[in-house]
Amino acid sequence: MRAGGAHYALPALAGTLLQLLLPMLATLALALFRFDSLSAPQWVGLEQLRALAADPLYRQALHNSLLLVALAVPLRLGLALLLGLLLARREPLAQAALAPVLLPVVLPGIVWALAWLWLLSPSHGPLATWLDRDTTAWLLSAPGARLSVILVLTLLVGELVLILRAARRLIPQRHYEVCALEGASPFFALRRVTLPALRPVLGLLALRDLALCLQLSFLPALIITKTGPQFATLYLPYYGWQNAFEYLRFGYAAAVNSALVLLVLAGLAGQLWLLRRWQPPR
Amino acid sequence: MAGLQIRGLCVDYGTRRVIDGLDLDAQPGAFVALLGESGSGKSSLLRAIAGLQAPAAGSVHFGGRALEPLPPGRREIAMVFQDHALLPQLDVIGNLTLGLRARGVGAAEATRQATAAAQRLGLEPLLARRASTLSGGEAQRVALGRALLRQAKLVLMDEPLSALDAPLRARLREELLALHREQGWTTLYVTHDQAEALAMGDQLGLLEGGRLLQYGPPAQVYSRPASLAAARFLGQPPMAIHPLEGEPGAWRWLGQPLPGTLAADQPPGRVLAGLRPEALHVQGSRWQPPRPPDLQWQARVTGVENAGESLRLRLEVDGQRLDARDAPEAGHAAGDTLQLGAHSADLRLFDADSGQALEPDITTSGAAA
Repeated sequence: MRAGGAHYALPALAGTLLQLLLPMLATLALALFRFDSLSAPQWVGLEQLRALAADPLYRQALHNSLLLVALAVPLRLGLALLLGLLLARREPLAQAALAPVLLPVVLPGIVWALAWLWLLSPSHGPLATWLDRDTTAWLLSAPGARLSVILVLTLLVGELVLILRAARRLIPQRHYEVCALEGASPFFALRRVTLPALRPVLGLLALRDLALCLQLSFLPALIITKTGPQFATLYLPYYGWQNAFEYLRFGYAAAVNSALVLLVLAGLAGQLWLLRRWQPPR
Repeated sequence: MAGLQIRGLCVDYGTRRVIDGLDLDAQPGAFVALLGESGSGKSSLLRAIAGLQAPAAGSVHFGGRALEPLPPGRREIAMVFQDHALLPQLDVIGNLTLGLRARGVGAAEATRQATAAAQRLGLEPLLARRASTLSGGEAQRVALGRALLRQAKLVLMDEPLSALDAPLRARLREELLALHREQGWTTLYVTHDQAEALAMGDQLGLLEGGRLLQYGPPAQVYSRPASLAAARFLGQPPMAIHPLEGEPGAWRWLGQPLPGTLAADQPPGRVLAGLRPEALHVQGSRWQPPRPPDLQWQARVTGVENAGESLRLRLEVDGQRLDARDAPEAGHAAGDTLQLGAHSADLRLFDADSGQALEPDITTSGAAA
């Protein structure tokens, strides 16, 4: 940013400070207190942060969360890339197909989650019935419930598709014509032209999706799987919320959330490192 | 002929026909310059030859082989674009090796060939530079390198120099012609720059509205336009065209009597005559006419433009406009009165109704006779 234009960024910087950095710092501070919102906060220092390490439910939620982002982020980006490239074509079918792809993200999240609850309901859900042909109770098994949450999140990619579709349309057609003149295969053009050109957008979306997937996991965990079976779909945001608003352990919830922020920041740093190493192929 | 042969080529964009029944022949090794304004169909013609645009009708053969059934990659054509079409995220060597890698050449061999091409074009210091950081001239040289590595015999160039400044354009023009001769390319070069088209082409085609107005050696196309449209199209300033007055055997042009044999068989009111600016001579000028003039006028100077190597004069004779050139030191000014001379043999005659030149041996078609 040039110094001359810094004042233009001030409103956004002020917003970031007020809405993001201050609450984050307040959360970090709150983690040092025991607080039930009914009585005065009580200083406990690092006790709650140490307690996290020994908390089996926290460890379970951490494991579930890591598994979720490790599977859902690549799946979401992969599907969004595929759909973005297909729907970038200027054909009537591609234009028409955009509406169903966008529908899940324009629906209220609770509607989307309830629709999936019905689809996957072990007693009468049509998808569950089909999935349970050979096994029993898909949603009641840990892998089934985890995959269900991942499936629900993976289909919520309308916004990613829209961004990738726009980015694909910005790649000059001339670059594909050069490939055609050189006799390149479509796969070669994808690898040498499309993916390198989309790299900055894909990188940004991957960074954002790490945090977004954790956020988006809240509703499916609450509505569809109820964090079960046996806490198999208990994720960190839900665990933080549960401690705060069900058990009134606001200080402990702040410790969970602070650990979550650190986890996301570490994940982002790792992704940035990987992105910087990714050079277009020759 | 095993060069390029185009017959009845038509290209449509939706309901709009942009190439309309075009015929064109080019000998192997020829450098064909196609001159046209924006929207004349220049780029569409190249795209149709390259296979990037499906023609509505017609055929294209090169080296005796029909190109229409082949996809672009199997036509063995190299194309150079005005915007270079380099991949901005790749470095220069990556851009140079792109085609080789696409055709299955191994990385090491592709790098070796690309480095040799870079040496030929003086691109070695740029090999590690990102394409997005190159200047216009550097980028166009890389694009030429890519064409070189295509090892094609037919090279299509779509205004490759028009985005560059004048000195660089002149330098690259020479490099490009040297490469064309050295590689034995058959080159189709489209441009809207008249000087470039006249200077570079062995053959010059004037393209307007998707049709060839005229096709032939540049000197002939310039001095003997096949039609009024071709006469007005080429030349800056263009040919001054005015009607013949009087009657056969006693024609006058801008008040001056013409030799009796000129257009003696044409009916009155149907003949136009045109004169190129350089066929008009100012009396007393350092620039002497090649033969004594047989037409003379007194003209008033209405405007003077210093073009460096000459003065461009806007003149008026009996209320009619003429253009002429004179030596740069002549020092004419608007309002001066000058004595002008020209030779009637330099007049080009056109049928006022059809617009065609009244010289039967001029061909307009691009197809070899």
